[in-house]
Amino acid sequence: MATVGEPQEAHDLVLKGWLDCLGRLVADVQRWAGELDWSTRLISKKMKDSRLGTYSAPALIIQKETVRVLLDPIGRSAPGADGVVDLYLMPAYDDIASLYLVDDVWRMHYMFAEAPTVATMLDAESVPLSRETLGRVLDEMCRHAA
Amino acid sequence: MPHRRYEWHERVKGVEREYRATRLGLARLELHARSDPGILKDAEKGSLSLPDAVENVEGTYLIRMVAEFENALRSFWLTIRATRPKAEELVDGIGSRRKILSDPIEDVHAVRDYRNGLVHESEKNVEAIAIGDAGRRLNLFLSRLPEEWG
Repeated sequence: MATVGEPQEAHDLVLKGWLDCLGRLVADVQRWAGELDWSTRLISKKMKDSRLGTYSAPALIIQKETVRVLLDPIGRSAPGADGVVDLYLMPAYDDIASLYLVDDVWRMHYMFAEAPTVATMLDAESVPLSRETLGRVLDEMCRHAA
Repeated sequence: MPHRRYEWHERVKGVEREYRATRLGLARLELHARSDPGILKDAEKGSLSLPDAVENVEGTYLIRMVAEFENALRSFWLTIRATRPKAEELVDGIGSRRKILSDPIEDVHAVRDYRNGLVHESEKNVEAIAIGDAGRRLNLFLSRLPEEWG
């Protein structure tokens, strides 16, 4: 869905770039989760975007024992970021963390247990997403569930 | 209507995300209006009622959230019977067929009672439920549906 004044090729390029970016994120998280002994399952999510139209994006279910987490793409258009993906604790969809793509780096907003208390998750200091930071979050999820 | 459970989870959670964005926008508007009350005047339609908007925004989104939830249940129900039961019977009927425990069923009824109170301004004394909590309760119930149907 190209918007008025936007050539179709430009629209297709933006969509392809975003899906490539999401694909790399999901592949990284899937690999890290596997290395951390979590099982994963890729699912497809139908997205609606005022600029990109309707499209399918990859999402990832991450599970260990009874703890299930969803890596859920939210959208590409966000002020100050080139993409937003959330992490939810299933099945209630409790907010765990938000990932923002800034300068080609996924940064994670998460209230780590030892971090100072803040009003909302977005006020939490962000850290670059890595196997180590993902592992810390997933470990905390397991400890809460225990 | 979607026949995949995750899409319905997403619709319910999506309403909560929209609510948060709107609430943030209203908070910023309130802040600006303190120093510039003129921004609350619509040239054609007179004064805008910001306090009412702030007071009612959560209830407005909660009503939408419950509507999405009930649409999900109706979509699933049509794979069982071609009838259109009342919402309360729909929740109980699906609860019974999917062997859902009574606590999550009661949790959903509490959200529906609160929503009904908002819509009909009933005199009945019902527990107010924050939208985040409502979303949790509705998604927990939805999680007992199959991943796909239809």
